[in-house]
Amino acid sequence: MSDNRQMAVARRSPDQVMRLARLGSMHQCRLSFMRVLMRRMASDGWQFSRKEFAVGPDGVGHAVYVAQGPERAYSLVAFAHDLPDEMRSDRVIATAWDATFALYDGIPSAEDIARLSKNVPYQEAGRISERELSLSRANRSVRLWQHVVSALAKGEQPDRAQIDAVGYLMRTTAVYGSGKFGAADYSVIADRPEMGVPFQAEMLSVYLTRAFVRDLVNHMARTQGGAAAVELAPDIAGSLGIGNSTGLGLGPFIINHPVLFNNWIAAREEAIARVRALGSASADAQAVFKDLVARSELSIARWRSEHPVQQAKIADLRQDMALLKVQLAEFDLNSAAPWDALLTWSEEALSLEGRELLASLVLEPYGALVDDLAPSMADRDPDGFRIDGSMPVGELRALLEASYGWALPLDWSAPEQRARAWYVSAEKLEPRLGERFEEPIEPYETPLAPARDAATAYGDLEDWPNDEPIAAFLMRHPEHRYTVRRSQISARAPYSEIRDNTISAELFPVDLLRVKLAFFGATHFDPRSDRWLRITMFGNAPYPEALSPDNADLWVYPEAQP
Amino acid sequence: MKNAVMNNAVMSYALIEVEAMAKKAARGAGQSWGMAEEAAKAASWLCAQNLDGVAALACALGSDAGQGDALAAAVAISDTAGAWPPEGMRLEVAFVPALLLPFAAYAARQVAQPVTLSWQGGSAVTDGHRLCLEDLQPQDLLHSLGQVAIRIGGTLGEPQEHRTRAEPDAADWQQLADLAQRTYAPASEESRLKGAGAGLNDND
Repeated sequence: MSDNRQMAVARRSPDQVMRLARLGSMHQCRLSFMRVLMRRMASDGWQFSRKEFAVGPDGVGHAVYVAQGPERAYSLVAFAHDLPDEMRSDRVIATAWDATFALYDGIPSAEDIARLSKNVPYQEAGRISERELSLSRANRSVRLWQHVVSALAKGEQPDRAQIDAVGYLMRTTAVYGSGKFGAADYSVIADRPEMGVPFQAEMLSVYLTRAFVRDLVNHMARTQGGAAAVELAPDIAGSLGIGNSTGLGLGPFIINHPVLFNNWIAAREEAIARVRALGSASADAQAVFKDLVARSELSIARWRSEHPVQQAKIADLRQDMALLKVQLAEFDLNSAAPWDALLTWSEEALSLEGRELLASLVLEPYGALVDDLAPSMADRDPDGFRIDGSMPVGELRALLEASYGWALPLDWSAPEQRARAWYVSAEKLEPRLGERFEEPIEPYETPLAPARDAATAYGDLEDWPNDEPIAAFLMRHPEHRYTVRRSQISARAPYSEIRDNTISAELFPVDLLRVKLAFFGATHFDPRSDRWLRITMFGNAPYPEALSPDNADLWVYPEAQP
Repeated sequence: MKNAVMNNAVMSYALIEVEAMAKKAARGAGQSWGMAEEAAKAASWLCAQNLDGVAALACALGSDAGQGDALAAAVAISDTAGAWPPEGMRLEVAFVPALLLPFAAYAARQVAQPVTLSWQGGSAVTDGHRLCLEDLQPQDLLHSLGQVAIRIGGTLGEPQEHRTRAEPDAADWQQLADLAQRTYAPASEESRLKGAGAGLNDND
């Protein structure tokens, strides 16, 4: 591709990208973790098998799905339960689920399964071990599950409109990995090539969960309908993903992992910059892009939300797609630097949803140019956390101005600027967001307002001479250690800080969740309040037995029904 | 909580669990969040070196006298690395010597040379990644060893075994858990409904 480069195009600036409204409008792209996993498993020729399916006619039992890679195997151990309707809740306060799961590092023995059966069904109240890489659970979509089971039991296929309206048979809620509840630390697997990109174990667990759920619904239909029952048609099964309900717990993650979050954003921004830098677009690239624009329209048509904020955004996005089609009819993709021109146009013409969708779409024809960025999304810097105490105060001050310049002039004593406080509940040890001036939560506030803290530190630095080492300031002001660390990180990681107020009265917390879920590869974001939402994962993906290099890449974009 | 299954066995924790617990415990003991992060990384680093980081932090946070000093003195070692006088640094008293080791390791990485800590009758050398104890038992490192000298240089002997899990003493873990508890807001119905954002039906 080197002959096709024009002059370098700079990455978009953090001031442009790191606003919550934009982060909260991001879409999956080639670098999303699900996409990376699927491509790798296909290109490395992973083999999948259902090693056990010991589920009784009552729907209770366990199953084991093995994913065998070139060097190692990973197994989903699934437990199916008989859950009374009144106990079903996606909230973290739930204590029982329709199905529970662990991803085992290798192939589990009968003893392993016996051990897991005494722990995995209890989720947070159980313990797993270093042999496990994730712990998760799922609940049925009550709307769809019963319809599908009864239809199949009668020998009929379920109603397509109902399938499209929900999009999944089960919803996962928390998918815990990286050492949670006793699982292996990420550092134990980080050096494996197949685990080098973030959240690959968790994504694999969800992917195998989807296969289990399809098998379970067929099993339940057979149990109910006997010989009359039919299996779920492959095209319908294929369109179904796995749902996920995500609450506030995910929000703090991107603030608490500034280097990691930077690496995700930086990889995507670098990918966008590389494509913008292309001097021309080949006929093939144009065809791929136009095909995916059409397929995105189909996906957007199936995107439903009851939340007024998201409804308005989806309406804007549909309008954006219409504008994009007009633009593509008029604009010549054979002109010079067409992708740069198209994205420049979008910044004026489209809503944030549309701009970010387009930014993801232009990457699609260019896997050879951008896919090598995926491993850079991990955080491999063991010293990223260290404070350089020798940094002169003047330099630190400049870093504060660069990252938090927007926040320094705000009146942080004004109630509306700090209306909210993040805290952890004693009840379920989950992050929550409260009203600082209405609830007794301030003593428990967790540090999720870096901008406010930076403004305070900046004030306290005022009288310190520029050439004093920051270590001296920290001896006097240990309370600013948090801010000094983040500021030094921002020098190496320009996209590490959100450039908006995360405790403002105006905060829409779902924005924090959405950007992380977009990097996972989720679609069909459906906020259910301002602080939890549902999504779909692996919708339209090939099932394990059908995964091949031909279908491992662009599955996320649905194709029109024949 | 249903932890019955493993009640009688020694609990094995992921290092990230040690880190998370240590951070909340240090915060619960009154440290700033930034210092609590240091305490957390230090406890986890010690466990990775097959030393009892949970006990070390429990000792540091448990003694009213010198608690803040123990952590502040340790943090200062890495904050000032590169600016030490040629003869090195000297601390008049190290309340919990184990806590100094992770910060000496950070200093070693920063100056790209080994760092040696010496007490009466024993020493520890680290190159930033590995740690070697000379004439010291791990248990010695939990209690004051008096004056300690810290200097750049030294030769690494047989390093500590590297671990990916921690099996802390249950009483030490509980001490950290009790401190961590202070950071949690008490449950209330208001919080349950508003704070976690229940909205539309989640069982459909």
